[in-house]
Amino acid sequence: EKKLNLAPLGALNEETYYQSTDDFKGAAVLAYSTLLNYTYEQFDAGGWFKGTGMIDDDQTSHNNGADNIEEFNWRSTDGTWSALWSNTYKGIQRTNIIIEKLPAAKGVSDSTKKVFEAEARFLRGYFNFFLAINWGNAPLITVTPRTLAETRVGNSQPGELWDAAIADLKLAKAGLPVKWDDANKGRATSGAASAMLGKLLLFRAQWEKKPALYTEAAAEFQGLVGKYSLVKNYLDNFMPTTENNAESVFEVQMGIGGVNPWLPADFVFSNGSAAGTARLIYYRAACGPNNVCAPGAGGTGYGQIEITTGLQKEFEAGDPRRQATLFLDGDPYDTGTNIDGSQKWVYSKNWTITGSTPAKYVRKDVNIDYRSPLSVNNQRTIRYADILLMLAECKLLGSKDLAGAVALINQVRQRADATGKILPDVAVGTDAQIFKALMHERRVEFALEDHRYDDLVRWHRAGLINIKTDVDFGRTTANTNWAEKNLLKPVPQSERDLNPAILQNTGF
Amino acid sequence: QTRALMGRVLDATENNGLPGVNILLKGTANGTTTDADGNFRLSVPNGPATLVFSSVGYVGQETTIGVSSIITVTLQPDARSLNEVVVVGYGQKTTRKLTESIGTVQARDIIKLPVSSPEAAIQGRVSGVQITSVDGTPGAGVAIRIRGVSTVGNNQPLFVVDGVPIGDGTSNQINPADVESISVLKDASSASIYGLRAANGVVLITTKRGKQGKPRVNFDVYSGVQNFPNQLDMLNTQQYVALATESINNANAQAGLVPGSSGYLVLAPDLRPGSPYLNIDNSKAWRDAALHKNAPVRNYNLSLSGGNDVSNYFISLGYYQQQAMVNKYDLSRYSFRVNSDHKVGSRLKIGQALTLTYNHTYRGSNGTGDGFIYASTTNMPPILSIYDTDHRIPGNRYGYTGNLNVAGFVRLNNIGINAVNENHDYSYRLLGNIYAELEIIKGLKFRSVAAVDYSPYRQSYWRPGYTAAELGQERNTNNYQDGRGEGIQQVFTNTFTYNGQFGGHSINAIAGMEYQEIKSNYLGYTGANFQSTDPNFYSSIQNQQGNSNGNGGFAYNNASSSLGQKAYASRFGRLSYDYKDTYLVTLTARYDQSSNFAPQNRSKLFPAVSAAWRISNESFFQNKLPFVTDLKLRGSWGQLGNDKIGLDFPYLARVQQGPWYTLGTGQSSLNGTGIPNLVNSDLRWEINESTDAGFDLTLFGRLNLLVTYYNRNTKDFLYSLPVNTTSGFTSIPVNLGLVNNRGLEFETSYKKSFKSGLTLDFFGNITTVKNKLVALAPNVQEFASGNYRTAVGYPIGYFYGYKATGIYQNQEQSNAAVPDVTVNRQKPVAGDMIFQDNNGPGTNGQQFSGKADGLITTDDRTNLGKTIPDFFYGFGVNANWKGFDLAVMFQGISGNSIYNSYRAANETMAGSGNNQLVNVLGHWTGEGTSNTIPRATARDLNGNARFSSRWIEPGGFLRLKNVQLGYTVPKALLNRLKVAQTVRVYIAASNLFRITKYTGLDPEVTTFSSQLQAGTDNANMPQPRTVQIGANLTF
Repeated sequence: EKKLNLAPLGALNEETYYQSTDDFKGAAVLAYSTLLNYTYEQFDAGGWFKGTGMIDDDQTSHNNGADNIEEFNWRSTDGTWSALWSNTYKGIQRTNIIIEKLPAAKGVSDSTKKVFEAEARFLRGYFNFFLAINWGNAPLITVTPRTLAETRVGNSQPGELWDAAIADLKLAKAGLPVKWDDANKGRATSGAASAMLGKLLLFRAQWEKKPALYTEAAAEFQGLVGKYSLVKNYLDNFMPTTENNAESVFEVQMGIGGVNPWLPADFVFSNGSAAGTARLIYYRAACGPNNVCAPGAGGTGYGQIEITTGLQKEFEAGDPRRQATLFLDGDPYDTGTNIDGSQKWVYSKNWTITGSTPAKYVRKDVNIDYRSPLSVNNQRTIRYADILLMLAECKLLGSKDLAGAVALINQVRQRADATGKILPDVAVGTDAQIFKALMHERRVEFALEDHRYDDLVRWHRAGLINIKTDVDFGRTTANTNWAEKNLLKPVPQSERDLNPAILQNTGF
Repeated sequence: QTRALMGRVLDATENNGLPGVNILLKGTANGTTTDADGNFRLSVPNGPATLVFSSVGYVGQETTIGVSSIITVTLQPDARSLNEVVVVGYGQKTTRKLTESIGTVQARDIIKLPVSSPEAAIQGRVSGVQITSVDGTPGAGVAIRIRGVSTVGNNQPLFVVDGVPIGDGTSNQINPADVESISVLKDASSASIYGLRAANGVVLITTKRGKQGKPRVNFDVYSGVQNFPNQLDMLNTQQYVALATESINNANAQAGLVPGSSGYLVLAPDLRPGSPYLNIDNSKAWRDAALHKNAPVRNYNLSLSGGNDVSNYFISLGYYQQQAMVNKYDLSRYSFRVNSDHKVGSRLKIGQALTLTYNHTYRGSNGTGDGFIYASTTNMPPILSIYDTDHRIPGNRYGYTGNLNVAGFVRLNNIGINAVNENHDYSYRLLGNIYAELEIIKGLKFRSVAAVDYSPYRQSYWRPGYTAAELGQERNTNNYQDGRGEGIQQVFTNTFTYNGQFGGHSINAIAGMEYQEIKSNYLGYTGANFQSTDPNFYSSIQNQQGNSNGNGGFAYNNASSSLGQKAYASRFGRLSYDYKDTYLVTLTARYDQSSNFAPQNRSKLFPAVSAAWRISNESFFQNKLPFVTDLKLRGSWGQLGNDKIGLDFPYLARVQQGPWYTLGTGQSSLNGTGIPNLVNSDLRWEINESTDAGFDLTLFGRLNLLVTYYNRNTKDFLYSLPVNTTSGFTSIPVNLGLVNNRGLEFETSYKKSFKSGLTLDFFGNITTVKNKLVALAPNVQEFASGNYRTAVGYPIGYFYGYKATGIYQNQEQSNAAVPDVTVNRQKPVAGDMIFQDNNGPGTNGQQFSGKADGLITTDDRTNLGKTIPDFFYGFGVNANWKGFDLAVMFQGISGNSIYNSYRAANETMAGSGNNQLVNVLGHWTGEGTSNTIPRATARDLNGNARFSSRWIEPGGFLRLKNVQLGYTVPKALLNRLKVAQTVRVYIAASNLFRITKYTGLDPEVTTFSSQLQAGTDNANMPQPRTVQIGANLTF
């Protein structure tokens, strides 16, 4: 009978793991790695920023092909939504297990436990915020399920996800270090927690029309002023050689990873794969309508994304950020192995339909292998410029400190153009004028950084704009199809098939 | 001193000569067989002697001869073969003594089929057993469902070869020619002696052993060619471009888009008038390049057998080779076997069985069960060429034009990729046992068996570097993967058996213990960037370049390994008792323990009982109904178990290294660590409780009828149930509810001999299945898995989707359409599919209202058909006349549905892209033009192509599975030639024709173990139409 007391060979066990600092670092790394799935996950149809970036008015898909996601023809069966949904919840489980296992860990000091818990709560707050702004009252998961019954959780109450995220981020802010040592650079800091908290409060002020929250949000942002700084060169925010710089508040850390970079990070749990983004291959130019192709297009580049004429026109003439953001006819096409421009590739509008493709994150990125989808260029999730413009927004809409708001906007403009000749300072005008300037500044400053659609939704909810009438998505079909229901994403049908208690969002 | 004896053997009822009767001088190896007229000649000693006559289908007989030199013997037909020995768990029984439901297939039937595995030979032969090949790829798995589908999880029965449990199939590693018999243990009473792992029934395979007599050499050979039974035709270039144009125009018109407006769809440049590609039409060339016409199948078997009073032996050597009907798929198997038994003294017997097989599959990109190369080439846009005839590519290896700009559509040159990729699957199997059997006192035996099943394997994969210009995909670095593993299983069995006869009472008892240990390991690595493409070079791991930068590629210097272990311990017993073969009863019990469960849930007792009453033995019956040769009523009840749930130790939470993340200024990538799977510490045995009742009837000594009613309940079945991903996981292992399978089995046979020497032997069987999920889990009524759904009250794994009821013929109809929420209330237009509104959300906690609610929502998905048939059947005839023999077998199923996934993918009419099936030429183009195939549109706003009844087709079929015509060369001629003792030549064909409503390649598609993806056809490889010639020689 003793011969039957066998155990899995070559695997650790839940009862004996989760004891030492190293164990919890492994658990934390696992939780962070979930973030990689938002940008590259080709197998669940969540790939190349489709649900996060491709639905805004800045990017449009290559060749104007019919595309349900981009044309707001969203369906509950789209793989894009289930990929975003399930990856977010996977991240939540990976943070929950840390919080659950910490108290009993024998090999971790109390002070270190506090940091691990704060870090898990930062990520859990991040994930719950993502759920709230994408699905509304999605289920709130606070523990790792252990039985079938525990896996079946219904919708959360209105506001519950926001409340949970706020509580987590407050604890994270208190428990996380201001700075990590060199070996741990890239992990969340108290500043990152504070910034996330401020962002959440700003969003909530607008989502739930609670102007009082502007003040709370402003307080968070104000606390970060002076602790970070804008880097002199705007492009430094998007090159792999200048990651985690003084402007960086939180980045998703891309890296080489272990196995086949074409596989998503979670492809085989026990043998994780790449950790990069698919940006270089999907952002770079492909072929135009008359079969004129960019260098490396076709088999070595599946250019999926083009820039709308709307965004092309949004840039003020000569704005240096334009070149860092998008390629236009005649630009040096300095990307991939040609980052030094040695091959004299000149960008041609004939490679596209709209005349432009993304340059942000792509220009000056020499990835380690241009044939793979992998770029190790970090995703800048929150940078100081964002803090400044969000603070400006709080001042403008909350405390009505118009001058303060304008000063912050101008601070961002001055970094882009130190001369002040190309980008003159915004003048203190009416609320509406300043808000318009702010919207413009956010759009050009953060284009292609996956903030745009979230911004449009919160402004629409706050009644500041009307997406239906004010926004041109760059496609007739997208403009026609956009409806109020597109303020949220459809709940994946596969989830509702398993648990009918999870309700579908209105309209889907 | 000997003398010549001449004789004739006659059939007792027909009074004509019986050919092929074996005659043996008792106690010697001296014997002969009768010729076509039933005559024989044998040299016998002077004085009295005893001759033993035996012939399949006749009651054996011993006749004492006097001094006469001419005798005539009549044999009684034994249509039921009441004395035929049936292999049962840990022993044998004669048919006469059976109380259980056991189906058998004998060597004589197996050798008539060109199959690569023994289990494939059961198809159509045994009632209650549904055999389906996963598809027609050489060596593809054979799915076996005994009496329905008992679980949502693994449905494969347990295979036991010469007493060694080997898992859920033979993996093509048992040579069918070595098989003496196959017994399928269908009811709980027969299978419960294998308690654990027997929930889905048991298949016992017994291999041949030597018989007393002179050494006998058998040589069997056949050679055949295989072809696709039918093909799928696609549009030509002109039709393809016309359809793409129509799709785009329709989409633009519907959206009100004009040239210049954003989102206006334009035809890809290569498809526009004037494009040089319009002169190319490769709509058939791609498919033809994938096909391997007249693909060969070959088989050679050589065996030597014989024996005497002390020892016997059977030695065989086999070679089997089968190539696929598509390019680059070549399966070959070499097999070797030695079986022997030896008597040591008068009470001890020692013996062994040993087989060694070597399988090698050489292939390109194609795997089994996926139809990959066929599916991925038939639908290539017809303007693309396989080769660069313009020689723009240096060396013109392929020079594929597939990276043209067809609306941003990139297709790989799978013909080229299949040609350059090199996959080798090697597997070896050493399966053997050694036993000693001691007769302690008369009737009481102790038997000890030690068995080993050692199966090493190796898989290697080579992909050279190639460019997008050649193959549509940039793979600049070459890549080599090599993985090796082994499975080691040891089984120790000790049993006591007792056989006793006390007057009319006979007792057979067995008691035993068994311990089984299963271990496995695997080690593999991946290398890249080899400087030479010589296999001898790249197979060496040290030759890979390792890390590299921009020009080279990734460091695929990754090694992986795994280990596995598992154990079972069991005690079991069986008592069979009968009184004068009239009252029979069998009691069985097995107490099992599996390492797969937590200690508190580990043990389980599986009891069973069966009984029979041979009513025809009763005097009142014999007097009144003399035409009833035999009538036996029988019934059984019992429990069986199952511990299979995919991952071993599903109760223990593993912690594993997971995905990478990069931290630190040095950008070092670190492994995350966590729990990959949800576990369940309460997991316990799945229990299958079954009852059956029936009768075996023989009339006039020649007509048999066997009828059985079965009722199986599987409770607490093991399944990894999909869970909401909100849990962070995708499934949880659980014991779930209750599945019921009920049905009737009929088996019949009829034997008739004619004076002309013609004998006919008809057989037929049919089994009905009614499958129903009775309960699932508390508060869980159903779960969906892709397009399949499993719900209480329905059969397991039925197709779940929208019901398409027709096409809106005009605008008036489409304007009146029910709003469809699933497509964002996009208004359909004339030519779009109509989907049925049949359900709405329920109230008071009910999920559905069951009534139309004026909206098309996901609630309107409904049962579109089941994957489990209503019934399946087989029938045929074996005929003999003079030296000729003819065997014909039909087989079929009815009542199941198939999801024609290939059609769903290639009738979308979504503009340019994949080529489309010719069916779409009949699409809707105006009122009254079609009510089944919708309009062409590049923006499928109405979701015409969604998963719906449009793609579900009836899957029933009747096929002529096999027909074989043989001729045995007359003995007289052979005696003169003195080359061989018997010579038989034959011509045979498989899958010559079929009757089916299914429009795809072959309705015979399934999944190996789970029913939840069964019946999805991705243009899988069909069962080949094979024509072969062969010969059987005995020396």
